[in-house]
Amino acid sequence: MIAGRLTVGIVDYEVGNHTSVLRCVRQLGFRARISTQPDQLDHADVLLLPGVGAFPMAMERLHASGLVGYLQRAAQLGRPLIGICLGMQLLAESSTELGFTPGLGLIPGAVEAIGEPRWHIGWNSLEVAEGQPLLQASDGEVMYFNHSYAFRGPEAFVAARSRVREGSEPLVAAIQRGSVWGLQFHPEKSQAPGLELLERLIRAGGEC
Amino acid sequence: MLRKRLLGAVVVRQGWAVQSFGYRRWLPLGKPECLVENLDRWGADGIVVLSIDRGDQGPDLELIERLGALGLSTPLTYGGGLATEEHARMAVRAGAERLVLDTVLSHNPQAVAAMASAVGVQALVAALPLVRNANGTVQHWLHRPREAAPISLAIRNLVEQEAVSELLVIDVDSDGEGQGLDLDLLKAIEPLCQLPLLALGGLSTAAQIRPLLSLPRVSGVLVGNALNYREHSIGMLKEALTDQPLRPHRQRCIL
Repeated sequence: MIAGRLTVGIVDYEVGNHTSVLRCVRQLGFRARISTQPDQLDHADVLLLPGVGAFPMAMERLHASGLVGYLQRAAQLGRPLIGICLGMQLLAESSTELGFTPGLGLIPGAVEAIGEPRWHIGWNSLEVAEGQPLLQASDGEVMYFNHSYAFRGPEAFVAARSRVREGSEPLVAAIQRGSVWGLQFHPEKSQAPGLELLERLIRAGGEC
Repeated sequence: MLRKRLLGAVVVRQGWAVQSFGYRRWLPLGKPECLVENLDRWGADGIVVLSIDRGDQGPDLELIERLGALGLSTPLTYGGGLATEEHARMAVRAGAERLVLDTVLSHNPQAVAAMASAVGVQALVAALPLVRNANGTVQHWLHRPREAAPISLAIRNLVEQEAVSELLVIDVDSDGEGQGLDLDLLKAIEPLCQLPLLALGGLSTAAQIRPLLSLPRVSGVLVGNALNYREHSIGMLKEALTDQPLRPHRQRCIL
């Protein structure tokens, strides 16, 4: 499958599995480059913020790379930005993982410990919120999650949820504010359902 | 609802994928890349690569990078030689989503917290290879110095305090035998902590896997060489286990 030649800029802050994301995006047929440099990321149609790790170290790295202001300006300008896993959590206003740490503040909400059970690791189905046409085709699809902290924030920004058990309180699985998206699961590691969803978001971002 | 996982295990020794028998004998199978690529294509819920001869060499980053270069769309977990925060960070950067810790748990348990601060607790799995001694008592099998010992207080504390996010119970004596895993090992470990449990050792058939998946604490099972002999082994096992809360089988589509 050859997608349109959109360019995806993968924001490198030395935390996480950027190479996996790069290969996935290229496999989808998009151009992609990993960079820490704003002048290179400026050429991207869509910015992608991956992440595996702990929130404080990730924010520390973003600050050290001078990328906090860059990402905040990009969001203000309406540039498409997709955060994945820890990258989604960084979009929030703050996290309490290993102590209080301010986030990028692009989507109102905070990241807090999941509670009981403490982990959300494995494959779980998505419950897509109403009014989310881009995600609708993924409603009920099973995606790969791996996290112990989760986003909590206003309903208006929640795009999808998942439940650890039948009838349990839902966890936020995806968030959206304008052209900024956050995916708590790993679409790049969720086989066909994840790749299909990620492709839709990138294509839609390219049309912004 | 969170599904339980059917994971493919690939054991690597001297750069080659091997079938392991009781951690004592090894039969070469081929290139790890070939086995991992198959598991990805066949729709495993995850792939666990265990490099069992790394000693003090650190993780096999070249292997992880070669596996990453395959463009896997299945979560990759790596174990072997992980001893420091830097090792953990580099292994994740090379392409592993999660890490299996083994010797470091005994030799330097203080390093686990630093690893967690680098890659997150959700990325850390503790491996606990177990054997029974002559009177049937469950003991921890230590790769170095290759002997059984009671589970140390340090490891008990790590799992009780949830310094890792899952515990991989390995039945050493059943390893490679294909005769099923000793359920009593899991029952002996359950009281130590509240962590979700993964199980590895001797599993090859749905009849052997079902009782494990039926245990509430078990979040997944690892099957090794038994998966390699049939093109649709993952799908066939899942089809036989539809009574269990596994992710429905969906073979990878070729983009």
